[in-house]
Amino acid sequence: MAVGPEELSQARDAGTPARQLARLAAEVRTASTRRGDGMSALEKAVLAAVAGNPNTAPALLFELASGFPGEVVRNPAVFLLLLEDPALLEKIPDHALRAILAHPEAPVAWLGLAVERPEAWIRWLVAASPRTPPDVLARLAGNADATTRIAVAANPRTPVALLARFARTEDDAGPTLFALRRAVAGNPSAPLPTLEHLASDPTLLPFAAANPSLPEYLLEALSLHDDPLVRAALAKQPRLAPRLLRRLAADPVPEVRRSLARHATDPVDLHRLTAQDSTVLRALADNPSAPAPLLDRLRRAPLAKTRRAAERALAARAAATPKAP
Amino acid sequence: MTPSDLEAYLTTLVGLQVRLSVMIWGAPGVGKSSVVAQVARTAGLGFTDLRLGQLAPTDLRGLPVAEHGVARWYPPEFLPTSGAGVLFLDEINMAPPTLQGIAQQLILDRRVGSYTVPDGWFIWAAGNRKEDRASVFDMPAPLANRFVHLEVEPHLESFRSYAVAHGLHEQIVAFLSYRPALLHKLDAARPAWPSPRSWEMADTLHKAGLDVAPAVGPGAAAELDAFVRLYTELANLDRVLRGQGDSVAFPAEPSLRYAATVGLSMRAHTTDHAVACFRWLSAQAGAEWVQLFMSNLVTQVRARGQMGVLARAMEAEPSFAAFLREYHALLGE
Repeated sequence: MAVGPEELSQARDAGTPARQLARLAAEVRTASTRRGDGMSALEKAVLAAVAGNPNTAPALLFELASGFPGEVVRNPAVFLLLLEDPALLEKIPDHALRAILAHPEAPVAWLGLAVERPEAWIRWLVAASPRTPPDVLARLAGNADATTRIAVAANPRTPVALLARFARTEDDAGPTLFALRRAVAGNPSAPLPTLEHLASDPTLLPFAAANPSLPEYLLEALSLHDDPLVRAALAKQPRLAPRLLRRLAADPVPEVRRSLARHATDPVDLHRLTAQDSTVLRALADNPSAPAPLLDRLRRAPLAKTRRAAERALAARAAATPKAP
Repeated sequence: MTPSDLEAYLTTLVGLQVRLSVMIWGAPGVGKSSVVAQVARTAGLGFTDLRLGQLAPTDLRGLPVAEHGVARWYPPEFLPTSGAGVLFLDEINMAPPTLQGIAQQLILDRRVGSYTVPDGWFIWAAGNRKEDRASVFDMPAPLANRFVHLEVEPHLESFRSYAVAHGLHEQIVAFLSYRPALLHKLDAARPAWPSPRSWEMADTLHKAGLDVAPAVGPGAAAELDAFVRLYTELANLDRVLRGQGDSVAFPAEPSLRYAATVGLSMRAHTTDHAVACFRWLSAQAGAEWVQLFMSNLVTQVRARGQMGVLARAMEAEPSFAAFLREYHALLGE
């Protein structure tokens, strides 16, 4: 059976019952499987609408979670699922749980309960989620799994006292200790004394230099630092004063200028960089903030790899732009 | 798999035009035949249901008729000759080995005698398991090896969805939510015992004011009677539904508690009812009863296609967020 606008309309209708939604999803999947040429935009839109429909039954929601995690976590009825079945998190397939917990809008209650599961990968997902509440992160801070502790150290919602403790911990050693401290150095919630303590270690200073919560006076000092790795890290800062931008744009080390070209967010700065420095054009093409007209100009850059990078960036943006089915 | 899973699986086979022979195993009355019929109906396919246990070999092979001095097998009229559909060989392992041999030809060669199954037809079969005390013959290994085998189990949620969609009496659905073990309980010593199929028959009897024991057996019928008496005595529930339940106490006796909670979920036909019931239960009962109420309610609301309205109403209820926080904390303990 061909899938058309009528099916999309039904899938979007908040009054379509669960059984009809299950049939729609089955029709889409069988139609695309029979053709063997992948799903059309319309078919994807139908499945996305089913994943977002409040009447979709949990089993089907979980089947769709890997492909449409945003629609599932934003499903208006998702907050009722744990009430319907208190043991839901023990029954949900791993692929669906992974997709839901990894989503930036993962339901907070699910994160709080998933932490009880014994699997290390689940605890890591909870520790890394921007939605995990501080008290849950605090419980995970002492977890035996090092990758979980490192994710807690990197999470901006981790309580400040815990970040300070991670920065000075001697409980770990070697790569784990370094990874923990590096995570704190990059954590925008890390308090200044903690950052200053970490910055005293030259191996951690480049990570602290990219921390967006550094005060202005430290940014100024770091822009004059001897180590180009530190200045290149500083160039990743999202909001640099015009004076510092100019200083980094004129840095004698090309990698510092390229770092700036890769991370600057102001279109004016980006155009200025293009005009004055032909060695950063390739890095500019990788900048997600580069405006489309600038990328279009880079398609005609002298170097082939720059032209190709600009083409790829434009194509990726075109693919990511939602199209009306 | 649950009956709902079976329906999804068969629907996919139809959608993909996968004409593998399917054998559905399950206890008597679990809903095998009705799921197959439902899948065929939904897909707009023809449906021919053959109860092999009730047929003789000549019923399938047809009758020999002399034609120009040669005997030809004339097929029976009930076998499909054109179009697309599902040829369902029900109770296949209740058929004697000779008939199973003929069925094997039909399944393997898609023909028997001079009859050929049209290309557009799926051949699916179903049978009961030996452990369900059905009078079954062993399926010959060569025949078994030519099937894709699916095993279906009774499942309360699937039955509840089916019951809501088909208008079964709320008292029967409420009772089975209270006593899920009686959804399917084979009693080899009696002809009548509870199963999804016999509960559907019981529903007809119950609506007609007749005793349901001939359908589900005396034990289940007695329990249903006792439950219905409690259920109908809960006249105060109407006040709760209207949001006037402040002076109505939550019952102390466990079966009454179940009757009240499940009864409310069955009678909450509007979001106002649902919110009023939630308020009363969360104030008078406790999280576990609210959970039971919501679990029953959500199944029905989802089947009716009104989950969005319910979700909005619950989100707008000021006390619901606080309840959810406490409930999630309880789950985490």
